[in-house]
Amino acid sequence: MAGRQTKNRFIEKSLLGIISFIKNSIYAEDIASKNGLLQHIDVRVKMPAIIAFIFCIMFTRSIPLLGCLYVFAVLLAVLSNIELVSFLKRTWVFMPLFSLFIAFPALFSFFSPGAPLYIAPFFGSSLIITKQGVLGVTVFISRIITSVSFVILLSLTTRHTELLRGLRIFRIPLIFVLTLGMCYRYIYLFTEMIENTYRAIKSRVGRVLHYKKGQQIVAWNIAHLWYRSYQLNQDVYTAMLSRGYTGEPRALKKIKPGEK
Amino acid sequence: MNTIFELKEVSYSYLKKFPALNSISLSINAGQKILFIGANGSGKSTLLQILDGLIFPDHGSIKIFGEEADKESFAPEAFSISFRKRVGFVFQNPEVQLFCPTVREDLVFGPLNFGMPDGELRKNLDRVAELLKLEKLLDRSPHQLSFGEKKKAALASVLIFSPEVLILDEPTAGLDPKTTRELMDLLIAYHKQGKTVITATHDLHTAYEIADLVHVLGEDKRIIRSGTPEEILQDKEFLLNNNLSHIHTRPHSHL
Repeated sequence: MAGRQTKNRFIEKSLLGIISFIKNSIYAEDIASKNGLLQHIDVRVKMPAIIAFIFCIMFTRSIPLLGCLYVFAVLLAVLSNIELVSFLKRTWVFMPLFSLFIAFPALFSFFSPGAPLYIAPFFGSSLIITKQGVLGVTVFISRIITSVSFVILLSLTTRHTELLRGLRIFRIPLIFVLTLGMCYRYIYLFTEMIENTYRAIKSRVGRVLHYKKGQQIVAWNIAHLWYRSYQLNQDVYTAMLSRGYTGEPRALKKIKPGEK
Repeated sequence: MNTIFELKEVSYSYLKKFPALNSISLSINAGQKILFIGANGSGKSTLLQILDGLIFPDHGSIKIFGEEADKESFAPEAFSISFRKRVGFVFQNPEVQLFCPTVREDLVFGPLNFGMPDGELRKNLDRVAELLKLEKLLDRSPHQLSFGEKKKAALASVLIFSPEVLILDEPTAGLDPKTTRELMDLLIAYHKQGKTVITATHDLHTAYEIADLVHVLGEDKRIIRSGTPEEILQDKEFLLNNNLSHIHTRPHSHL
C-alpha cells in the first residue's frame, strides 16, 4: 500500500512538476516585467545583439573567451534582477539533456585521438581519455551553456509578444509568427486543461488508484485532449474566417519605438 | 424594410447523420432585435453559424442581403470580405475567438483583414477599448484575463469594425450580474444606432431588452413558435414543456 502511494505521489509530483515547468519557463512574464537592465532594452536591439553573441560563441574555440562570455551572461542576469539560483537552474538543466550525452564519447581516444590524459581499464582492454578529447568537450559544453544562457536571458527578460514582434525584424514570414503566437496561446490553455482534469479526477477518486486504472484514465485523457484540441482547431479557424481571414495573415504596419 | 436574411426550409446535419436544424424558414430585417431561445442541443448555435456563412445548409436556401448565398458565393474573396465586414459574430466560447498573443492583436485582426487604413484602425481600437474598458488589458495575453474580460474582449474584436449585423451566441453565459448588465446596456445602445442584433441565449431575463421578436427552437430542431418576448415569456406552460423554465419541486433552501 505504501509502495503504491509512493508511486502515485511520484506520478502526481511528476505531472504537477511538468505543468509548473511549462508555465514557469514559457510564461515567465513576471521576470519580463521587472525593472532590470535587459528589460529596458528594446527587443529590436536586444534580439540581434544576443544573436550576435551566439554567433560569436559558435565560431570561437577560445575557452577563456567563452568563459568571459558566460560570466558576462551571468552578470547580465544579475543586473536584470533575475534570481541567480533560478537562472543557473534553468540553464544547467539543459546540459545533461542536450550535450553531456553527446559530448561524453568525445572524451575517449576512439573519437578524439591524441595525448593520453587518463587510462581506465575496461573489460580487459582500456579506455583512454585524451587531452584533445577533454579540450573538445570543454569547448563544446562551454559553447552550449553560454549560448543557452543568452537565449534564456532573452526569453526571460522579454514578453513573449515582444519576442514575436522581434522575429519580424528578421523578415520571418508573418504566417510563421502568427502560428507561433497561436501555439503559445493554446499551449497554456491545454496545460490548464490537463491541470484541471487532474484535479477533477483527484476530487472524485479520493483514494489511491490501482496503477492499471490510473493508466486507463491517463490514456483516455490523452485521447480526449487530442479530440478537444482538434475541435478547438476547427473552431478557431471558423472564428478566423468569421473575421475575414482569407489565408493571408496581416499585422499592424509600423511599430514605432516605445509603442506598445 | 430591408430583409437581411431570408431562410427557406433550411436543414443541416453534422457529418450528414446528426440532425442539427430541421426545415427552418424565417426572415430577419434590418434594425430588428432577434432572439433565439431553445433547450440545449436545439440547434441555436448551428443556426447562428449558418447566418454568419460559416457553414452551409444541406437542404433549403438562404438569401443574404438579397442575394443567394451558398458555399460557391462565398468563394470569391471580394464577396466574403464584404459580407464579413457587415456581419460580426461573437462566439460562445471566448477562447475560440481570442487566438492572438495579445488582446490588441485580437482586436485588430478583423479590421486588418478588411484592409482598414492604419489611422482609422487605431482610432477604432481606442474607441472600442474605451467602450469596453479594455485599455489596460490591451497588451495582456488572453490567458491572463478573467472570463468576463475575455467575453468583453471577444465582443470588442467584433465591435471594432461596427458591423451592420451583430450575431451573439450566449453573450451573457457565465457572466456575473454586473458584467451582464454592462453587456446588455452595450447591446441596447448598439441596436439604437440602427444595427441588427441577433442573439441566442438561455438567459430569458434578458429577452425583453434584447429582442423584439423571439424564435423558439424545439427539440426536433424546428422553430416551434415565434412571437414578441411578452407573448412567449408569459406562456409559462409553453416554456415548461420546452425545457426553458423549471418548477421548484421544493424550495432551493431545502436542496
